Amino acid sequence: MADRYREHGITFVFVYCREAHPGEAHPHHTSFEQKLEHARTMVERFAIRRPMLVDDLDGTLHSAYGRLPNMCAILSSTGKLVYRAAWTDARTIKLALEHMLYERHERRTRHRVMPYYVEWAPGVTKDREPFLEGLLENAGPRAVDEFIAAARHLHGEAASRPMQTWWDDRRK
Amino acid sequence: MHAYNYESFPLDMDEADFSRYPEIHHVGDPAPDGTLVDAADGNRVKLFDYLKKGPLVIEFGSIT
Repeated sequence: MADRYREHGITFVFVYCREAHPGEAHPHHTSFEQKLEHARTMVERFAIRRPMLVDDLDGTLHSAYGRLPNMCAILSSTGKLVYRAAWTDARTIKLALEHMLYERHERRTRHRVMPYYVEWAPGVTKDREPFLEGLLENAGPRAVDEFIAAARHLHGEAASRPMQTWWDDRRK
Repeated sequence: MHAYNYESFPLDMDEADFSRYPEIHHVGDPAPDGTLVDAADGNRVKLFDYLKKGPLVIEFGSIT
């Protein structure tokens, strides 16, 4: 997606934050050098071509934007927030960018563009098994245990049972 | 409030930060700038340096 929008002058960056699910493979950060090393591992493992920018050890920028583990923001060229989302979802980012390009076209063709307010809470597919597999690979078994425990705490035994069943089978 | 770099995923992690998120900023507000380190070369950069060509899409995250 970054390639598609580069020709329109839109830049994509990744800001590396704290470990959302620290585990044996990538534990919580105790030094900036360790955080930088984790970021470089991520670039290599996922072949990331966007600039990978590492926040300081205390997460100053991450906290300033809301401190969520996988959030997203789009800034106008003047540095104003034009889109913010609690979750990074390619489908909604694309919608937002296409609308920005539409507005740009309208202004360039001397049409008046009037902003309006909208609230929207789109849903995202919860692919639990691929998520847990990724967690196991990139964080480690402790992170899987902790994620399932948190889900049980927040959503109850019934909601977490399919994950626990998957995990019990996976460990056999 | 949990330590920023928590050692174990807190049981109530989602409740605290997700409920606070909608009120921190609103669209139209000036976005926060800050100093970061480019993992490619270790140089310090300002986030707003990346606004020179136009709008900026920022994804936050980590390998875990």
